[in-house]
Amino acid sequence: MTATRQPFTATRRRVLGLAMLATGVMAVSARGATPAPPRIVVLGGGAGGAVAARTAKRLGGEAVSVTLVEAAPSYVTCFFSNWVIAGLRAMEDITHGYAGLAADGIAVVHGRAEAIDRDARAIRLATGETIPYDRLILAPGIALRHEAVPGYSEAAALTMPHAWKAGPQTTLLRSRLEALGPTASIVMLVPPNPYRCPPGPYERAALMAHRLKATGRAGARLTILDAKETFSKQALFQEGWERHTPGMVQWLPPSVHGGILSVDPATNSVETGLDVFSGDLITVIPPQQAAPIAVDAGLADPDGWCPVVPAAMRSPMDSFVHVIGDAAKAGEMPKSAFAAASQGRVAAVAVLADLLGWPRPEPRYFNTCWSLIAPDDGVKVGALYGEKAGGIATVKGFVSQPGEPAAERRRAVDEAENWYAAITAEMFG
Amino acid sequence: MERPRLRLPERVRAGDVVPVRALLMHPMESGLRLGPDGGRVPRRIVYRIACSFEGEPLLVMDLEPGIAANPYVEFAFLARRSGTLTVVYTEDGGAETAVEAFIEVEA
Repeated sequence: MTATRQPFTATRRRVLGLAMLATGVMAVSARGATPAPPRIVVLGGGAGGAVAARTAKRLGGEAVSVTLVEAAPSYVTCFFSNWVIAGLRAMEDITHGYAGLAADGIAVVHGRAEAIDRDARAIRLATGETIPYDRLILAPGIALRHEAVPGYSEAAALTMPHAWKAGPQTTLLRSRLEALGPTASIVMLVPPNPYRCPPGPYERAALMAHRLKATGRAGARLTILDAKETFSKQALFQEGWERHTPGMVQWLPPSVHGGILSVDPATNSVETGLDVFSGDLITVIPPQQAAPIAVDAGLADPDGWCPVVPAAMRSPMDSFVHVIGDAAKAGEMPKSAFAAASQGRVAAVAVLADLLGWPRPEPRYFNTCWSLIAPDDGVKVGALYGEKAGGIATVKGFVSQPGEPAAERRRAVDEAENWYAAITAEMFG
Repeated sequence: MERPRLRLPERVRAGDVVPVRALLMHPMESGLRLGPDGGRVPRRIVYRIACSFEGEPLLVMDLEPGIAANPYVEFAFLARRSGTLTVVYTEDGGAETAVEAFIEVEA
């Protein structure tokens, strides 16, 4: 294994050309007695992991072996799950299988990874089986820190759903919303930064209010108790809540509610420094950190998130491991599926450069987060990111503005739907 | 109007400075905003917050349309004796809503 260490700049087209050339060379040499191709293992089959695996296989072809380890037999996308809660999509629409990856020649292992043995460079599964790697791309996602909210727990989440990992919790929150009366009160707890999908809670509030209003329940009230004094796309959401569902959504920062002290599932209430807020439905989005497997492997900082070297999403703790997606501390990039996929592409190319001596292009990261304020009113925020002063920083960004024409907002909804189709196609084929 | 929320310590010592925090969820519609139909959304604000202690005035605030939704008021007063603190909110049209809390002052 030789790796090109000197700096290299190339256009995307040239990199792909070289990639195809290298694949051809390897195919020829494979006729002779050659060692087994280097092993790339991707842990976690979400937006980051699935895109990294497919990128590595698409570019690396027969020159590499690619294995994806994912516990769940199918994947429910967290993105667009707010649409499901509001009845705009069905669960089937956001559930995807991994057959496409297997068809690409990726070995898909459905097993729960229990630990990473960094010395032996292998993943250990709950079954006891080990999967060795030459390079590991770790995309394990988040863990919810239930205990960070006194009174909250995994059991309490059955009464006070978080729905921050898509699946049964999404279905639960949807059915709870459907069962509410015409003057119901809802309380939503929103965590401090950083967390998965920064605008997600506020989109959820907008869509829950929309659903209530559209079903004759405009007398319902949703109170957001935020851990932050400001939030993503704040002006757009606050304007949108008032325009589409006047008086239904209230947002309180900690300087007003006095801080979250505890929640009580038995009485469906939240105690803050100011008062006790009770509701017919309480949804608690707890604080988060990188999934335990990354933390246990010693790849996280004391804050619970995994640092990365910006050029390749490589862990500074282990040069054989790349961390991508929500678990990573990717500088100014938010924790989103779009960002995770972008990081997955960069990590896959970096791994191929390491293992096959391929070119090492300067990384470019992208993100866009679309949010619905109403089913025909979409807004977006996004940016191009690059390496700057040892971190990942914004090169150029854009954000929707208050008071935009309806047609422009409608266009953003169409973009969001097109993006969903594109990213799920890139993830699952 | 919604039920206001009021928080002050349950028990203090005579001469202590007592922090008072009061919140009312209210749209504070300024009357200057245009609605989806292009017409003006009628003004509806809480224009007065009056706070009294055992019937004696403690504080009166006149609010203007520039005040944001969900007016939150925080102030402090000097406690000399036990009693009930009352906060009354008055909105355009004259509707009122009140909240009170008892505070025990130990000598």
